[in-house]
Amino acid sequence: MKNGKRRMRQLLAVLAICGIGGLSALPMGRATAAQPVSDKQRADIVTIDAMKAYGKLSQPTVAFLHDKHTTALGKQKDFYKKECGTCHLSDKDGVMQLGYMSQGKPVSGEKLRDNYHNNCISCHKDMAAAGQKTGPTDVQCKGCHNATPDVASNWQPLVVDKRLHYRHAATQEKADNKCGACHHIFSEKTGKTVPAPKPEEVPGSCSYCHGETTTVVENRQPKEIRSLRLAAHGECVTCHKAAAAAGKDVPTGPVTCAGCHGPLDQKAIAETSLKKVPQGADLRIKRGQPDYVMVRPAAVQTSMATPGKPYAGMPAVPFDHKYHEAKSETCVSCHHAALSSCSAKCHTPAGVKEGGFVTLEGAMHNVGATQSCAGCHAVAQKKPECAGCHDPMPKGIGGVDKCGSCHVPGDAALQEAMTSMMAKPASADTAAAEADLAKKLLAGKRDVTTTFPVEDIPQTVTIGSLSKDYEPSVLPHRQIVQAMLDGMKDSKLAGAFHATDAAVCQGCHHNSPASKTPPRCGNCHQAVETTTASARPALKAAYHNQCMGCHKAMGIEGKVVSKAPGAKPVPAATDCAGCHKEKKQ
Amino acid sequence: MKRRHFLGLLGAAGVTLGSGATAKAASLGDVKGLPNAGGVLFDASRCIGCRKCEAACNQVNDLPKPAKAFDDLTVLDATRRTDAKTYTIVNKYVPDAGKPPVFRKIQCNHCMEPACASACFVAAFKKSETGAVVYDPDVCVGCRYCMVACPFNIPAYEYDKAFTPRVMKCTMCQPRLLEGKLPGCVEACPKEALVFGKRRELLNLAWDRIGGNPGRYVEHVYGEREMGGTSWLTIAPKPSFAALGMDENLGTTSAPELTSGALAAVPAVAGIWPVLLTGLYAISKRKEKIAESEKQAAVSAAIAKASADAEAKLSEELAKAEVANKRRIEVEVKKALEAAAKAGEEGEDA
Repeated sequence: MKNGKRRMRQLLAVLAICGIGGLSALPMGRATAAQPVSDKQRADIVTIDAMKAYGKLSQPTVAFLHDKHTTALGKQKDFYKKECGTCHLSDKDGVMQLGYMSQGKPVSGEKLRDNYHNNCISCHKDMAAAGQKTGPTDVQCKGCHNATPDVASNWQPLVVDKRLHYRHAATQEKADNKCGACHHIFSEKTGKTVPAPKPEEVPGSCSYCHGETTTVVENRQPKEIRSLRLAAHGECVTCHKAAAAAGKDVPTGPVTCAGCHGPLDQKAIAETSLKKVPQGADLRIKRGQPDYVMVRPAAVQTSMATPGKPYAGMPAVPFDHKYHEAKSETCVSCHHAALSSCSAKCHTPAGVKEGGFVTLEGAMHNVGATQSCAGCHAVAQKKPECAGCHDPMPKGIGGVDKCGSCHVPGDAALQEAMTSMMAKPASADTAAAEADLAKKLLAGKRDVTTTFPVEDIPQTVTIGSLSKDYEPSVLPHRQIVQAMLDGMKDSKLAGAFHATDAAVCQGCHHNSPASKTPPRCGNCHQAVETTTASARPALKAAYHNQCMGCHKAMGIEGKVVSKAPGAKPVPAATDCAGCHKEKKQ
Repeated sequence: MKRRHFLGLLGAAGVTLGSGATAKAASLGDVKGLPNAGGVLFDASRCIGCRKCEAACNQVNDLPKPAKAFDDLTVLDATRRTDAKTYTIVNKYVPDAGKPPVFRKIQCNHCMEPACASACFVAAFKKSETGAVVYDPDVCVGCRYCMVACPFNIPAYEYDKAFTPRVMKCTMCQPRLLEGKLPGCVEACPKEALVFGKRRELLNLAWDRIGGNPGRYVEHVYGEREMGGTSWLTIAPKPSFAALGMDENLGTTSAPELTSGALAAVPAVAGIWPVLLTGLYAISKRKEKIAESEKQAAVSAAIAKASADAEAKLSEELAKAEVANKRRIEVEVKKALEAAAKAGEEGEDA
């Protein structure tokens, strides 16, 4: 629908339907949003603050409830025949403007203010005169300009995940250009956007071109690339409306704010997706991507390599692309700016302008960025079953001993193959060999987390060295270890990174050598607090921080987690006697 | 007080008012003289709201028992403040609905340049070298300027004591500090949510924690600069200190700097006369008190001196008398000997 003609046709269709008075789209929209939603929590709050651009506001901003107005208009069969056109004007091409009564041209502040005041108030007045229930009609400012509106936003950004993508693809299965229904490309020849003809030519996510704000590109027509918000609302809502209006016997997507952005509606969408998408359906979005790759610099850079010798940096990282695809909802999760290889143009070892001078090393290891490997893995560590151990640990790449987890060295033969591979620049020709090498290097990785044999794990550990007001605490040691292993038994990520048997012990026995018999806590943590500030806690705090911190991070405080009969709840942090009985005086 | 005394004092006050800048300089100098001041770092992300610090404070300071026991955590459901019988309290905050609550311990922040001290005209409050802001009830006149001045609303008044009311607040356990012990609350905390140490070391520790846990803490150490800095430092989990009921807009100017300039001249305003006069009355009363005690001291010193003098004189006299006696005896003995010798001579002769 990206070509102008088609878009115009659809818009005209929408307007025509409204003219006929069908308004069939609205009941459809309401049906999707028929969840019992509290009126105080809304996804349709449009904050009218356009006057901000003209200086300090003399009145609070207006919380405008979009769905409330759409619904109200839907009931006005004779009074309002223009539907969207009541508030939204269209330009000469018939493209609807998303701004209220906006011509798409900049206007003066006074004009903008009058635009809202005259139109809103007069509409309310007209409706009141016709005996309809309506909004504020008087000139009391705070009727609309309420600094403390009694509604709160529960707006959620909409993510087109793989299942939703699958459903959209399914509806376009029989269309002439199935991807082109949504995805378009800019044609230099015709000087305008055209539907993407083939799956391989699809540029990927809308966000690759449509930014947060509308961008202007000189020397091309159309000059403006709409912001993601405008593009999404202009296209998605229009298409949903048109499909509904066309009267075909197909269910269509939401057209209200809450329909896409309400948390309950989003849950409903996810549930419908689960029902509609057949079990075992191939959700993989195919763009000709490989199953395995080597993450490496695109080219051997002269500044970093001696002629005739291979690239002197880190060994390349073997990467299971297919597995990671299955674990991410969208391609954008990693490929945030384009579908191409990270290192091809943007993230070179030295950093270039195209990649915001973020080096390849930074792009892979930056913990703050969710698109980086370390950043995404750090997010995974926030899951309750992982957070107990990982919450107090430093995030991201720790010591150099951790490098081998990803920069797999491999055996001698593989190392040689890698050296010769790194000497050549990455290209389509080398892709197959790289994929093969990556697969071989990954073959030795653990799939599941394992630890020492169960009989080597002490059943209980009695902590009593500080016992004064309380009896010693008996720690169900083996039970804790087993609960931790249960929490990660299905995680390949955990398996690959808990590479040694002692790795899972390190959550509690931190900073001590990885061993079956780690030293006692008291070896490092002194039993008596001193008046000198120290980063290392004294023994009492060390025990409490470790135990309570883990329980809190895992969210198991005060809950019964064991499935054994008669299991007691995990003591809450303030329940002293839950861990150690009070001594009788 | 005699009218003449009063007018004299008034004149003296006028001279003091004119020299506000001196007060400022002096107060800044005081702080620079405390490079090793101690303090406490409170980490709200570690506090579990167990109220052990409250119980310990109550115990080590011999405060009256509270209405509800310290292990009753339902008191956390209401927002509380410190009072004359409670030097510290823990309050519960829920910055993000649906997420676990955050607890904050409230007590005197022991400002580096305390507002209570700068507002107090009898110097009942003093910043000690341990870092504690200590209070001397013997000189306090009960004007409660300190309570008005404190930006953290901490000092509380013993309204129920008609004759010897005191201003009560956390002492940072000054007596314990002087014995080399930790403040009661710090020692009792099971999580080391409270750490005692030198203020500058605590600042390092605080920033290390903030830097070492990206995204967890608000990137700010509350008390590093607030009101010119406080000995009690606070770090808190995101989103903000305001979410824990802390005033984020106190500014970095210390109270003495704020008041010793233009505000120092404020008592000249007509409306403030009663306050000034009460203050002057109090000062004169205190002066009388001091004069009285000085007089007493002088009298006792004089008596002591007089008796000492008398004693010295007596012993001197005695010594003199002894010497005289000795001499007399010697003379008598000599005389006797001479006489005997003479007699002997005469005898021999005879």
